Amino acid sequence: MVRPLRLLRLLAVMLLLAGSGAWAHLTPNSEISLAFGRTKIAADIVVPLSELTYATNIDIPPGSSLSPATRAILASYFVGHMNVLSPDGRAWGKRADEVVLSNDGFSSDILLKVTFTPPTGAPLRRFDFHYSAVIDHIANHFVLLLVRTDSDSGHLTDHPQMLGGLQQGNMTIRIDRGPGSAWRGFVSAVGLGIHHISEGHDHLLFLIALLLPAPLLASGRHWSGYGGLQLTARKLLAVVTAFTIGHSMTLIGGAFLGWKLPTQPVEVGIAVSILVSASHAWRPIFAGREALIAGSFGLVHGLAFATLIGRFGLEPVQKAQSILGFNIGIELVQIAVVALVMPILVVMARTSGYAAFRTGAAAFAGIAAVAWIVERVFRVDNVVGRAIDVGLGHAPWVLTALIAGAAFMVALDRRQARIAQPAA
Amino acid sequence: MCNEERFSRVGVGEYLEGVLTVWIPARRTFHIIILGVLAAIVVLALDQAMPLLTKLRAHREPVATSGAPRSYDEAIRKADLTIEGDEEIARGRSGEWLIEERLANAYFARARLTGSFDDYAAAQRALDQAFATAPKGVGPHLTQAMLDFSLHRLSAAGAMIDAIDHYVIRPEAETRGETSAMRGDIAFYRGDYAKALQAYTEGRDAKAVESSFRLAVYQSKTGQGDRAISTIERLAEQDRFPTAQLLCNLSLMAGAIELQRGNWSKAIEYFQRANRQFPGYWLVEAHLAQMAAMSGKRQTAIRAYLAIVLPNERPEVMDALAGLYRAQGDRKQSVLWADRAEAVWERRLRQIPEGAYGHAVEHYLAFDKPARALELALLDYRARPYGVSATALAWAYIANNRPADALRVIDPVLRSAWVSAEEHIVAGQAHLLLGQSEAADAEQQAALAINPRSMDREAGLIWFGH
Repeated sequence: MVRPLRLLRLLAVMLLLAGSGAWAHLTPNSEISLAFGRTKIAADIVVPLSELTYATNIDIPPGSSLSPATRAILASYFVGHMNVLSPDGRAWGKRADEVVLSNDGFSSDILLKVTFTPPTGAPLRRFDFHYSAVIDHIANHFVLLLVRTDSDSGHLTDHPQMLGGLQQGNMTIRIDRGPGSAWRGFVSAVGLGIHHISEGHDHLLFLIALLLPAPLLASGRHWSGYGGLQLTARKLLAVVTAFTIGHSMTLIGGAFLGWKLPTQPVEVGIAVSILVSASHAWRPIFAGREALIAGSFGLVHGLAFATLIGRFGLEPVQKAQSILGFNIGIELVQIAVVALVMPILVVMARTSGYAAFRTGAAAFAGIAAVAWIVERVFRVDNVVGRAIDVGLGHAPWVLTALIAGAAFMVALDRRQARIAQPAA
Repeated sequence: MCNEERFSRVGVGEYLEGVLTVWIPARRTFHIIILGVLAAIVVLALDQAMPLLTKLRAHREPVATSGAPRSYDEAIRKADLTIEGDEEIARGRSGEWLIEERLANAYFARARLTGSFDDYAAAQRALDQAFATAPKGVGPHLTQAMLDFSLHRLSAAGAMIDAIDHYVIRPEAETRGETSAMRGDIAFYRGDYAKALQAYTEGRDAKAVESSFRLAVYQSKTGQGDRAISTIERLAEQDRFPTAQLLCNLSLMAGAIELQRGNWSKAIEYFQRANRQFPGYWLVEAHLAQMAAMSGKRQTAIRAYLAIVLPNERPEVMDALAGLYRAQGDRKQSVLWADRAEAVWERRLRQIPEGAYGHAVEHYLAFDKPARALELALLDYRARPYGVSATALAWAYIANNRPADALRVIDPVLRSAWVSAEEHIVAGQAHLLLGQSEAADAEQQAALAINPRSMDREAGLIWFGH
């Protein structure tokens, strides 16, 4: 026998609604990221405050800063819950350098910096890492162990490398990073420089906007005709060298002397530098002083580079090596860009259409700069910024279009010249 | 005088012409730049205003037009009265299976409102009584199938549907359609999504399929969120006399879909709509409390959860409350509520084991009893081997330090039509624990592509609508 179906339909809706079921309520993981030096290992440890207090009952009100006494309790708790042992069983030295409370407005974390030093003669790249903080009390808390940097194995990127996870029942992990070499670290830094500037459209756009009027002579408030190869080469060399000196100075200062500014004003400053160079490409506003401007804004760009190198937590020798490699990477890309773009600009600059091209390119750079300024000031990305990033991400096509444009402009000029000749 | 004027006009004209000759190119350039900037501003404005425009185009809220109860309290009162009346009738006419089935339906209807396992058990008792007195070849098979399905007893539900197919008198077409669709449901919860879709669509009128809640569920679980929402909206609009409870459940379903793809504000809108459509429903209030917790209004959420659990025994809400206390690091309160919930889950596991496995797994995974979680997850997976239970089993393996087993279980889900952020999160976590960075990254990116907020810390507070 069967029932009226209206009730069944309602029931069926509810049954299917109830079909959802088991789901693991992800508790936030702890994270330990290791930076391998040549004499020690620096560990950055992030532990969700809620999980820590849940596990230990250490009373830390979220949002408040840590008192010296609480810092001492936490340092002692964590140092007591971690151990590094050499293959021969000797314990490494360990020291909590910093314990702070961070709060992002929604949740709080305890951040620790711990330094591990191997005993005399023990290998630095092979050891057993034992950690039991929080996980000894909570079975479903996980600790992710990562390599933040290992310059000597060539790991020098923004992407940490996973070593493994720790949890109740598995609180020790054997780490063997294999033999490292300084050369590998250097090559990795060169790659990082190449990657960073290739991906950083803003740095390159600034440079290209400065190059746009390089083949031209300024005449009052206007750009006039082509100034010749010698002038172009001279301006080019001056701009690129000044930019390199500028960013290298702040890169070194930032990495070794701790010069730094908050990221936001630096990023906004970089976008402003593009706006300024775009305006100059449209109408000369600092003709003859391009090198000075390139150098000055290079200082700002260098601060952004320094932020990148600074967060790798390298030891001084590794840092010097990395800065050198990083700068070489940047220079390689700059030279490549100049070598590819400049001949096209020189060809274009000798045509009557260059003024229009230059104005269009300056407008593009200006719009990109405004979009980035808005993005970076308000911390909200916008469609113009996204579109420009996508466009600049297709560099080979942009280059092809430039070559085609140059060819078209030359052809057009020749045609006009041929038409004008009989009349003359 | 006249010549002087003309001369002076010509002079001014020449002067202006001279000025324009010098400035025209500059002005043109200037205009191009201004136009470019204006275009950028327009595009930016459109970009910012798009959510508002989308909101303006939103569907009109469906309103209940049937005479069924308009609020939870009213529905409960009516269910109580119905049960009371049906009990009395059953006492007076014992031995009539139709009366017992009617009583079972009354308990079943209340169970679906309250979630009470006592009501489910009472419904089962009444059905047992009905089967005991029904003549051979007839009986409350469809109601039993619905109850079995509701309590996750898929094989038993299938057997009931088979029995209907063997009735001496062929059931009417609508019933045959329903049983065939239920076969689809069973296939769905056995992880055979293609067979489920076939059962939902085969031999049916296209319009009926389009506005089928089953299709909506299928779409929502196979990565077709927009189509699922459209199907739900159509279903609500096309019902001539929708009940408040039906509309509320549809809104909950739509909200859950939005929640599962990270549109938390839209999910809140749907849950609020559900609350307006069927006020006082504890499940909706729990959804809203959860959203308050996720928005950082934790004290509001705690008060709302307490208002639900203090008068009634609702272990899933107790779990949510315990989870919220845990997220605040309050071990004492968290353990208190988790223990209370556990006592109820254990009782339910004794009462109706299959019906409780899936929900109890959630409890044991969250509150630190990995061995028990694995035991129940395995039982649930054996009973219902589909996306959710496989994901839960994978988490249980991870909690028991067996990430490789977690990957073994989740791999078929990743390769199936099932689409959820959770399956990628669990796979990502397993890869992480195995030290496989790249694979973990890929899985995390896949999860974020489905639900951009799936890795947010607040997502750990989700207990309802996942």
